[in-house]
Amino acid sequence: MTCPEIADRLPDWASDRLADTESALVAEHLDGCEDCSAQASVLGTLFVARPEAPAGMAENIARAGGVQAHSVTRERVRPSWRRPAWALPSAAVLVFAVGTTIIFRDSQTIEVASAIGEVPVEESQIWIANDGAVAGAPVLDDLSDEELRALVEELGA
Amino acid sequence: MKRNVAGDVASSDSALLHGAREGDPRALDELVALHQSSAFRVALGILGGEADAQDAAQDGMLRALKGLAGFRGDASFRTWLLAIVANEARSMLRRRTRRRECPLDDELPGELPVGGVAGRVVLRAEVARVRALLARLPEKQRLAVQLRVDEGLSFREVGTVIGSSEGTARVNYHHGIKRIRGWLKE
Repeated sequence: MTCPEIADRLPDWASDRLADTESALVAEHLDGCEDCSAQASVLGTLFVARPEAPAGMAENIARAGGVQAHSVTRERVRPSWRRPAWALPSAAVLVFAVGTTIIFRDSQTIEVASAIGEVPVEESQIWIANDGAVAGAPVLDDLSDEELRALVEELGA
Repeated sequence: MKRNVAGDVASSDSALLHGAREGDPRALDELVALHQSSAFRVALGILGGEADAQDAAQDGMLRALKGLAGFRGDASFRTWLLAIVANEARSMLRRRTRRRECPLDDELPGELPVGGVAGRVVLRAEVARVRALLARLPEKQRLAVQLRVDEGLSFREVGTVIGSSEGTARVNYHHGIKRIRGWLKE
């Protein structure tokens, strides 16, 4: 092996990480190469002197991890607001009230507009969703012929 | 017996990662025990002070362990973890208004003790001097040397941690070693 090839492997040789066969090749080169041998000495010294983690660091991590995991769990299970028992019925009433208001407001607007003749209103626009039964539209289907005739006469009058 | 640190660590990591993802607290503890020194050294290489390095290593490891789901396995777990710790340490460094300047020359032992001094003391002084010289290197060279020598990472893995290509990591490593050797000769 050449000096550059040895230099790439020296950190692993100095820290005893090389396989036996490769380690023997490096050792053979070092015997005859003063420069690589000096470099190996420096690397060996660096490796031997590498600092270790301070005592208690692992415990600190475990403690911090436990505390934080716990707080995360607490935050997840604790809602930011509590839903009282009356919330659902109240919401239903509110939706009904708002819906009814909208229906009446729209129908009144149309009626008023129609009365003053400013807005041409087609029959299909009067009832929301084109369903007359929803807001109490007159249902003529159930009337008998006699009742219909009477109604027409009444309207004609 | 020949140690195969990289292979052993990778094998342990695989089993421990599986356990940690399943929520086994002992697997998490073992992962921490296995990598805490590497994390500390990487943070120390960036920050220079032990107290800050410990904080950064702890925060980085916590962040990594909480984000295990995000580990895709593109790199080894150790490389991924050390990259997170390095980012944490760099963030801490940026938060500082000014990095504490160390009068490194004053900290360096000058001449090695000679004559009448026990060999153990001489070795300790030499060791301290070499590590102090390592601290004088620019960050990328320092980290490249540390990651290659202390942690046994490949140049490709070193590049992943320091944010460079494999070739740049190799160049940084060799320049770093060359400079340390030059200082030792002065």
